[in-house]
Amino acid sequence: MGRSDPQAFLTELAKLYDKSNKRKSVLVTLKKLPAHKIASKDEANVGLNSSYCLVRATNGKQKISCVLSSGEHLRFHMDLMTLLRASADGLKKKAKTKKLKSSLV
Amino acid sequence: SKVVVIVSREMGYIADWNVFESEAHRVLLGDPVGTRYTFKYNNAQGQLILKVTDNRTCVMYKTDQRTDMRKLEALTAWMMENMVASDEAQSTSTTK
Repeated sequence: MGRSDPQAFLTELAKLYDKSNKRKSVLVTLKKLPAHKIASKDEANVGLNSSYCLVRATNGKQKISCVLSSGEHLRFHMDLMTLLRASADGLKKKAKTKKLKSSLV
Repeated sequence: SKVVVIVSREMGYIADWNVFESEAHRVLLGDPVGTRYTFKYNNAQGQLILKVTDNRTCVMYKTDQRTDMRKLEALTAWMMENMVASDEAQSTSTTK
C-alpha cells in the first residue's frame, strides 16, 4: 500500500476515479489513528496525545493511503469533496416541479 | 475449560438520514479508535453507499440522489474532526 502526503493522495485518488468504469467502484475509508501507532522516525513531530486520521482508498486492485493531522484535515476535506462531486456524476438530480400559478379570479 | 465469545452483529441499511447520522455518531463516540467510516460510489448503479462500523455494530445508508452529497460532506467533516481530535479534546467535546 502506498502511503503518501495528502496532496499526492488526492492526485492518485483522482486517477483512481478516472480509471473506474461501470464495473469498478472506489472505496474510501477513514479511521482514527492514535499517535503511538505511527511508525515514524521523525518522533519530534508526533505529539503524545495527538491523533491522526488515516485515509485509505482502493478500487479493488490499487491501494493508496495518507495520514492527516489536525491542521490538514479542513483543506483535505474540501478538496476531497470537490473531487467526489466531480466523480459521482451518475447521481440523480432533483427534478424541478413547475409551480402552477394560481390565477386570481 | 472453553471460553465462548459471542459477537452479535447488526447490519442493515437505514432509510432515514437523521437516524443513520445519529447512529453513526454514537458508534464513533462509543469506540473512537476501533470505528471506521467508509463511503463508496457505485458506478454501475449510480449510488453512494456510506458505512460506519466498529466491528460489532454496522450502520449503512445508500442514496442515488445528488442532493444527499451535502449530507455526506457534513458527516465526513464531523468524522474527520473527531478523528484528528486529541483524546482530551474528544472527552470534553459534545456530540455535535
